[in-house]
Amino acid sequence: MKDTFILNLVHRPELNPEYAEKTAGGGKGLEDESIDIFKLQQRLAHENGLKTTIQMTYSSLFSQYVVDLAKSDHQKYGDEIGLSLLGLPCRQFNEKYRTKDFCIWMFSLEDRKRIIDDVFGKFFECFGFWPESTGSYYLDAQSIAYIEERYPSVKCAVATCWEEGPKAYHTCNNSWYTLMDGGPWNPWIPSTCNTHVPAKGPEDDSHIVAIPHLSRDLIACFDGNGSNFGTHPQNVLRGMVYEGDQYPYLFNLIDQYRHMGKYNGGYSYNMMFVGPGWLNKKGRWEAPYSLLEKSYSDAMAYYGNLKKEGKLCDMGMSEFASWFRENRLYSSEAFLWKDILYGSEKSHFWYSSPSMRCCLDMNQGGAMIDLRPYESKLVRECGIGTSHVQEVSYPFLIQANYRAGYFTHYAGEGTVKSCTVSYGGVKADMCLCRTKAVLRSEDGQRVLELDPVQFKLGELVADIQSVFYFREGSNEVKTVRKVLRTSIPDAKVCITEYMTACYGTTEYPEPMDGIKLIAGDKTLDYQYKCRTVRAVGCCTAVVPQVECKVSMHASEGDECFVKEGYAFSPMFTLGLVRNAGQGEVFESWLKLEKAN
Amino acid sequence: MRDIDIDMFYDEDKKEYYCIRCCYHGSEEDVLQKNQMARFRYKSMLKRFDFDDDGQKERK
Repeated sequence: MKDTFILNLVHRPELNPEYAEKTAGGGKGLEDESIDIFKLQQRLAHENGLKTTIQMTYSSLFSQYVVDLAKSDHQKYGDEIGLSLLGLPCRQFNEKYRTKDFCIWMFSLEDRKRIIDDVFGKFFECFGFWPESTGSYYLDAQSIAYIEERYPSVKCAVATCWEEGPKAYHTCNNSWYTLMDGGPWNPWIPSTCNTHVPAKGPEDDSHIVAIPHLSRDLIACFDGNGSNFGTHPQNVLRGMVYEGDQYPYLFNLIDQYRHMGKYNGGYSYNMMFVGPGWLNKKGRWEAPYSLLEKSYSDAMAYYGNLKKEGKLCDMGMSEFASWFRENRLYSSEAFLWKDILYGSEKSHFWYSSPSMRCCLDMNQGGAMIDLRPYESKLVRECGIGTSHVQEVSYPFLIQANYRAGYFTHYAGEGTVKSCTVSYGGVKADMCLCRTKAVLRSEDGQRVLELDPVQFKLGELVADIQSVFYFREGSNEVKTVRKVLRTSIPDAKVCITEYMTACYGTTEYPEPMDGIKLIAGDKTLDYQYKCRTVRAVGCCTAVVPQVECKVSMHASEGDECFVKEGYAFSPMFTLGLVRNAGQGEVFESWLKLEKAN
Repeated sequence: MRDIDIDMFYDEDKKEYYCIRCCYHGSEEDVLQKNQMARFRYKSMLKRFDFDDDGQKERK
């Protein structure tokens, strides 16, 4: 595929932005201003030769003026007219549902269906056709299934906000309830079981192409608060990533996304979806209106120039969905993302496939710091009447920021997958080794090759290189540790490949009862008793709470172990051990399976 | 004053801003100065990068 950078630019006429209604007091003034903002966004896009997807909101469907605006822009500029499930609140909605709730995935399933019918029905009444795109901050699997059943014209949907979970919740005074970590960062076809899980094939294809709400910085949004650092100019301003009227970070972000085409067969993608509340004429506390408007105008100009140079292809959402099905379908996605904000030279490798999502941190020797077992195909119903009213994150087995990672404050271990290297009683962890990596494709697999690192273990110096293999369609990750050199001839270092894990969606521990740890033919039922079992062969953890079986294996003769945690360290550890000398290699595999 | 996304309130009598979640209090000048602390981590904030096969390079 030729280098193809695709942009989805989405605007929504909101009329009553949920977080602006209180400020302006509601009423006509706010509506007029909101329409003006929508018109401004549309004008700036069109002036730069860009077409948009107009995601009509329920409130906007009751304004003939806005409906006519949309029809006119569709005719003149080829904008797609879609339908958002954001922007529900309006007089008509409030009179019928008598609630302040506005997030579709949080309503009861019964109400969700009624709301979807109301909104889609009103759309058809206004336009005489059914929409081909829809979306929300999150669109759950049951809602997607209902929409596909009743309104099969829908091909594309905004379906999640990347890593906008507990981190973002904290940044908003613990009062913004988009708890949705664990999903893909770039477009995917959701499986029928769970929106966050990419479909494996036609058998679990939900019949829509999902796009993220924004294209986000894959380091800053993982380490940071989850919402300042993305292709949203006013979010960048809110994050204070500017000086005066200069914000080169925004353009670096766009350009790094373009560069990721190198790792994905020439395909790269950006999505910009700025709600009108961000261009409020009163400005915001961190930026005056003039800067809010300038930043949007500059972003449109940047995309417009890329298009003029033949480096960008702007598409409506449904057009993109057709393209995606033709060109990407169920393919995995891999990014080697570099720090463009903090000046650290750190890089993260992100991988998303129907089997897993994971992140490797080159600042920690390629340690796995995030792991989501998509292979479990976990069904997690959400909304009122379920046990996850607001929270729709896909659970992790490893999340080094929420659950301690390599370093813990006092005792015990945190979640991470890494290795230790020891010799003569001196041991060191690969997490202590900062390095860099290159990513290439080879024989149907992604190969992440790290620069060698040096271990000084007493009198011995050993150079070790790590390589990680991700095969398309596989539920395994292969790790190779190569002992390139030892300063003492014939010396062998002891490499312990380990994974410390638990399960959850937040920083708080979850009950570990019911988890089984298996080493060889020995089984431990988790009882927080700090036990270790050693054997030969494969080590496994069965985590019924997330229907996952995770195992590690190397060659048949290798020692393996499982470690049970304790109350002050409620984790488990799987490990494999091999002694290796100069020129020798330790290959091991991490495997994910569904466990009922 | 807009109260969206604001973590501090203004005491007109003492002419100072104060946080309702911690003990911070200070003048407008101090608040603006402390806002800069949000930026201290952003060492690449004003750099512009090019991305090519050789990696990420700062534009001069």
